[in-house]
Amino acid sequence: MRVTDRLKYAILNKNLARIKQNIDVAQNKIASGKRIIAPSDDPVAASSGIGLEAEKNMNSQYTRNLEKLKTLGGFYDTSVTGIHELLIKAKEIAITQASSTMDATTRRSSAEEIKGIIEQLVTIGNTKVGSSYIFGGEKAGEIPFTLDGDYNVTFNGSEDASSIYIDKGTKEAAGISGYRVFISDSNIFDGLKKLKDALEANDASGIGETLDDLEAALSKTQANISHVGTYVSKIENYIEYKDVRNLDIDESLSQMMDVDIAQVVTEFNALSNAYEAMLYSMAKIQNLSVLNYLT
Amino acid sequence: MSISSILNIAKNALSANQMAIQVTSHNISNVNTDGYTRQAPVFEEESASFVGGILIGNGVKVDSVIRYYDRYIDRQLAGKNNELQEQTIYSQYFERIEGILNEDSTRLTASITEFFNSWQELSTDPESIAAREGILAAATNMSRSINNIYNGLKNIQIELNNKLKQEIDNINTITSAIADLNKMIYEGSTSTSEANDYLNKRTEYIKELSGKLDITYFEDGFGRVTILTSKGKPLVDGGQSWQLTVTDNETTGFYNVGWKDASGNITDITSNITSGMVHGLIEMRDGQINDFISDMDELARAIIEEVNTVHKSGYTLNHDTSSTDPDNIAFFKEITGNYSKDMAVSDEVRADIKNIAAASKIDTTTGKPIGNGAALEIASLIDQKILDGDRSTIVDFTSSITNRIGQFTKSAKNFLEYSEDTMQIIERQREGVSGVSLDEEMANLIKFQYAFQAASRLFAVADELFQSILEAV
Repeated sequence: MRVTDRLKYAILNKNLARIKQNIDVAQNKIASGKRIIAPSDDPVAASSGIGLEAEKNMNSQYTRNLEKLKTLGGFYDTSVTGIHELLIKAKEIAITQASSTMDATTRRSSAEEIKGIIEQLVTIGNTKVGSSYIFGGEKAGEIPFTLDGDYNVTFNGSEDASSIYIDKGTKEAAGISGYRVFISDSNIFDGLKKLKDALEANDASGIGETLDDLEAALSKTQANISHVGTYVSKIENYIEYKDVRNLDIDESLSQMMDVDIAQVVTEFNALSNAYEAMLYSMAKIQNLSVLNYLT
Repeated sequence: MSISSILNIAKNALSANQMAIQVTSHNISNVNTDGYTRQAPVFEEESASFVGGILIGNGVKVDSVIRYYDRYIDRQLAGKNNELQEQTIYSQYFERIEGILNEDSTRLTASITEFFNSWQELSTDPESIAAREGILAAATNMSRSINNIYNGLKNIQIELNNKLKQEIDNINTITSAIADLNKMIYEGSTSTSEANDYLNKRTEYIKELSGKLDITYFEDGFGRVTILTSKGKPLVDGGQSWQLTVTDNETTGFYNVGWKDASGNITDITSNITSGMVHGLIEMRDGQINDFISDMDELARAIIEEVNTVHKSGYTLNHDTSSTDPDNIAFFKEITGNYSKDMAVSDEVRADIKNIAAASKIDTTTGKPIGNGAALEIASLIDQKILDGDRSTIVDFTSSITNRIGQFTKSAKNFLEYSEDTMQIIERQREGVSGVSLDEEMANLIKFQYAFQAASRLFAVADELFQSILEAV
């Protein structure tokens, strides 16, 4: 086959362009540290990369939600423990004041103490985190407990706590409703109010009768303490699980998307060698012309 | 037989070799000309004459100048160029679309997940104003990202349409040039060298035309070429050419390709063009880009409608406590078409973020919204199969778009490379036959130069012979 001058240059141009393009691609990969710069570099990996990135993104929200629940769990823990202490105090008062050695004066001052306890419990019940009352259940925007002059406490919240997502399709109660803590089974406020009334009325047997109520309230509160504990540890487990899952995703993403530097650098070197070799051979070929021998 | 006939032979030899040097120079100077085919003089003996009953030669003449070419290679080149130009369009434009749809730059999926995450954020604190600000920002971001993709795709579509018109103009320039060349080839068929250059030019034009659209062509007995579209509409016949033109397609708003007959009537031949650059442009414009635009529309529509349905059944912070009806406020602007173009947060929500609903029920006694039901339901949409006829989630959908554009671009690049390679192979073959080799031409130059010098020498000899005779007188 005849090899003409134009062909010589055309082939050189074409090959130089191709090698340069490949060098450019390799350089881009090294600079960005990414194996996939455009989807066409590996369409399947690029599209699963999007799925994984999205999952990571959503997971970070689930983790935020879980962290919130964990913080909330801390508040519940403090609150329920506080309730427990106050109830023990009330029970002690009831036991002491039920004794026949006590008189109307001590009982009246104890009644004041019980009033204080009720007020403190209402304050606990109205704990607010952010813009939400944590014991309001779904009615997080409304003050859950109101106290009237006669120390009757009304619950304005909802019986159920609202829930939030902690994972794809998995909801978890965002806390505990005040209904469960204060009202259901054995109404703490009713018991204390009865005690307060009996104390004010200097009614020793009446005071004794409230002990059963207080006992029931105490055991319910104890159950709630362990409930909060389980709740918090469950959340913590979830957080840990999410962290592990995120690490898995990161690893898959890295495997899919990140460049193997050693490999690309080798590729790059091979390409630059080819480039140099081509320029060298061209320089040599250029000299092979009959023109050099004509004077 | 006379001495003067020696002079005559010398003169003929001089002019024949001079002509050969001219042809060689022509070759040398066109060493880099695209489509040039090397030429060579064909020497022939001058007819002999009887001198004293003996047939004596009368020297040399240049009978003709021939082109070295292979008609079949030229035909193959033209055909291959048809494929190459079409693939070039695909590769070029798919790469641009890929740039527009690349998650790295659009952050489409990321902005969508951020939007749904912002609803989760609200669900954890349904009364929060800050969370509502977050939703508005995320929604604006997401809408803008979708709008941008739409605009990018639409701009490419418009560009393709304009390019189509340009190419049709180019085709008309080429066909009329070919018709002119036909005329000149016909007229110049007696003076061979000139016609050679016209033929080179015409071959080059035919190759270019074949790159634009699918054609069939053949030569008549006078060397004139007739060109038809592959579906039989004449483009060039002898010295006459027919024009193509663009007409407006009322439904799409883009150009159709029309063929104008002698009396100016236009026949639509858009669907008759089945390959080449023009076909690539049309295919890209009406097929692939439209598919991606409708995907974006489908995505935007699903998000708008699903979010709005839930949001309208929810209760906002501005809920009128005397009413038990949901607030019926749309979160996204309610539109009925051009979803990806016009997607935006509704005016009500933009004017007052308290119009964002988190609750799906109200307290029966106070009438106030309670809970985070609506926020939860909207947040959960990201996991639900709301696209592709309830077969895909949003993330499935966006990642399948990425997969598709990736595959398209990849195979377009591969095809282009393949076309370029095969084109190169044929071009090599063509160069092997028709290309100019400077070394060869140099050798010829020296050959002709010596012949010229030798012929000059003949003059001197004839002159000396004359001198001898004259001196004898």
